[in-house]
Amino acid sequence: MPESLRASRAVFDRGEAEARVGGNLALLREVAALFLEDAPRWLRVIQTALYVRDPEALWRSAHALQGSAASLSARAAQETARRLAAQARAGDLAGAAELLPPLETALDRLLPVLAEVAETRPVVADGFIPPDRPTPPPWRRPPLPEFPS
Amino acid sequence: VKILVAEDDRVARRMLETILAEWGYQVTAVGDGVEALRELTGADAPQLAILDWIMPGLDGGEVCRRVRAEPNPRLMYLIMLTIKSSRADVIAGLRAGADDYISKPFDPAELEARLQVGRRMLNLERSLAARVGQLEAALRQIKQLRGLLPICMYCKKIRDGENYWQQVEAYLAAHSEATFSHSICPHCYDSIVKPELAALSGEAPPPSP
Repeated sequence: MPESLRASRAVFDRGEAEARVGGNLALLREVAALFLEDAPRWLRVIQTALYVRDPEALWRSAHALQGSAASLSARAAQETARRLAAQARAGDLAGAAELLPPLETALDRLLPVLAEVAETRPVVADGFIPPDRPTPPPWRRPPLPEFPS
Repeated sequence: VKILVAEDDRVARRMLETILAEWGYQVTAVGDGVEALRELTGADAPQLAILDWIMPGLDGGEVCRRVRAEPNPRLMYLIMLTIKSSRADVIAGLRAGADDYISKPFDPAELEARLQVGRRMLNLERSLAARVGQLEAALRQIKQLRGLLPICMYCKKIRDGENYWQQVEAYLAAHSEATFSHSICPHCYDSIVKPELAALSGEAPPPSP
């Protein structure tokens, strides 16, 4: 397998994701769209929990992101979130903080791919073309929350 | 077949909900443990449930424990959803009263197979409960027949629990599986039937033995 293909499968393994939804592509589109809404929210909670040094909230949010990413066969994001959750559970906030940049990078790579999946127009055999859905704004990493000093 | 899905992760919840509905299940999906417990302890609760281990409100293990601790625990097959690395969670979940577990992310074929195990277990438990009910009813009847029965010294009627005197055959028919057909024993044939037949035909009765 070429290295580039291996790398892209680590970001999002489309074949495996399709198997996970039993070949139901409409469902895959739907859950990809849910992930696009939820993942930035989890990332924001992770950033905030690190900032306010709350290992419990950090663990829960990283665990949630890990679960969502795993369901979508997004291995890189899943694995990084898993390691971050493990550090948080062990109370190692410094170790968890080191994993924040890799997690952000993993999501930077994953979300545009999932945005394409979510937008894929279904092919309908009888010529019916479903109406367009509004295009979501392009993925931007949420800025770090601002806290009063 | 009704099934409850309790999962806070919207991606996994939507996947479970859709796939289970495709398989013909009547799915109720909730996003936290408190709602899950309400569904499982309410009227007409589903007998199959898939519970995420880590949820806001109550976690899956606590939901299992509370469902199993109900005063009249209902027949229920609880499957726990847990991420692959959490062996300790699996053990804790099974100890809390879960019947089985599925690793997240779930494999549809494995999920289907495990649900079939669950349905088989529920059917077995249902038929076992019905059989125990039948046996208990039979035992009650045996006890009724083995109790002390007051019987009339003269007409041989038996007094039942409601102070009503019944013919012995009516009593036995009511308290056992026995049915009666009428017949005449050789002794009664000789001592009762033969003299009556002789009297009807005008003959002198034969000498009594």
